[in-house]
Amino acid sequence: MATIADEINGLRDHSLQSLDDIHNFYTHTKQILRKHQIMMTMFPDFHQSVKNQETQQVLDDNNAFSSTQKYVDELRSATFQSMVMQFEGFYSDVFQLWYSYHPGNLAGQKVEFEDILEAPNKEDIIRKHIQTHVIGMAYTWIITWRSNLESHFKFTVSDERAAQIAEAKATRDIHAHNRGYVNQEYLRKTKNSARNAVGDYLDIPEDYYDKTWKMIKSLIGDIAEAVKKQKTR
Amino acid sequence: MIDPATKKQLAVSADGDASPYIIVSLDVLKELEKILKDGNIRYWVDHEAISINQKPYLAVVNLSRNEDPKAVQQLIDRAA
Repeated sequence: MATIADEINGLRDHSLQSLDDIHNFYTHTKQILRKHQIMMTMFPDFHQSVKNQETQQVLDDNNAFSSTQKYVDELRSATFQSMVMQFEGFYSDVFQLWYSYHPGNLAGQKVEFEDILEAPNKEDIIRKHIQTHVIGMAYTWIITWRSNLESHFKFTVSDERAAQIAEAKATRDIHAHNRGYVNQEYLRKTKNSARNAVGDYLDIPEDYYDKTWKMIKSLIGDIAEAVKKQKTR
Repeated sequence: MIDPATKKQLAVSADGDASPYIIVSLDVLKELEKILKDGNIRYWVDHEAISINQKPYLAVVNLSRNEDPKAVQQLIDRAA
C-alpha cells in the first residue's frame, strides 16, 4: 500500500520529469528552427516554401528569417510560462495530498449543507472540501505560499528564493496577460527584483530561463523532502 | 564588420515584432560581444552554435527588444 512519502515522491518525480520535458522541448524545437536560419545563411541556393493550407500563410524566403525569430521568441515565452505553472501545480498537488492524509487539519472549517446532501458518502465530502480549500489557497498564492509551507511543513523559503519565484511568476503574468510589456503590477509584485522598468519589454534571456528552471527544480525537491520529514514527526 | 564565414557584413536583423538578432560565426563572436558590451547593449547568445555540412559554426546573438536595431548596427559598423 502506498504511503504519503511514496505519493510525494511520485508527485516530485512527475514534476521534475515535466520540467525536463519542457526544457527539452524548448531546446530541441529551437535547434530545428535555428538550423533553418543557418541553412538560409550558409546556402544562398537553399529555397523552400511552406504553405499552411488552413490560414493560406506562406513561409518562404521573404519572411522565413523574421518568422523563425518570432517563433523562437514565442517558444521561449510559452515554455517559460509552462515551467512556472508546473511549480504552481506541484504546490497545489502537495497540499491536496497532505490534506487527504491529514484532513483533521481542516477540522475547524464549515461545510455547505448542500455539499453534504449531494455527496454519496463522507469520503466524497472530505475530498471535495479539500479540493475547494486548495483552490482557495491558489488564489492567495503570492501572499501566503511561504507561510503555508512554513506552517504546514516547517519549510523555510529564503528571501532570495522567494524573490526569485515572485519575479518569475510576475514575468509569467506579464507574458500571459500583457504581451510581455512591464506594467505597474509587475513592479508591485517584484519590488527590488524587478528586471525592467514600466513600458519596457520583459526579455527572457536564456541564462535567466535556465536559472529559473534550475531554481524551480531544486525548490520542488526541497519541498518534497520537507513534507516527507514532517510526516514522521 | 565582415564575417569571414559568410563573407557578408554583420547585420542586425529586425523584422516585424520579433526580437532583433545577429547571426555570427564563432570566429568573430568574441569581437562582436566586446562591441556590444562596450556599448552597453543588452543581449544574449544562444547556448548552442550550429554547423551544417562541415561549414563554420554559426550562433545567434539575440538583442533585447528594448534596444534600437539601427543604433546597434551603427555601433557595429563604426567599430569595424
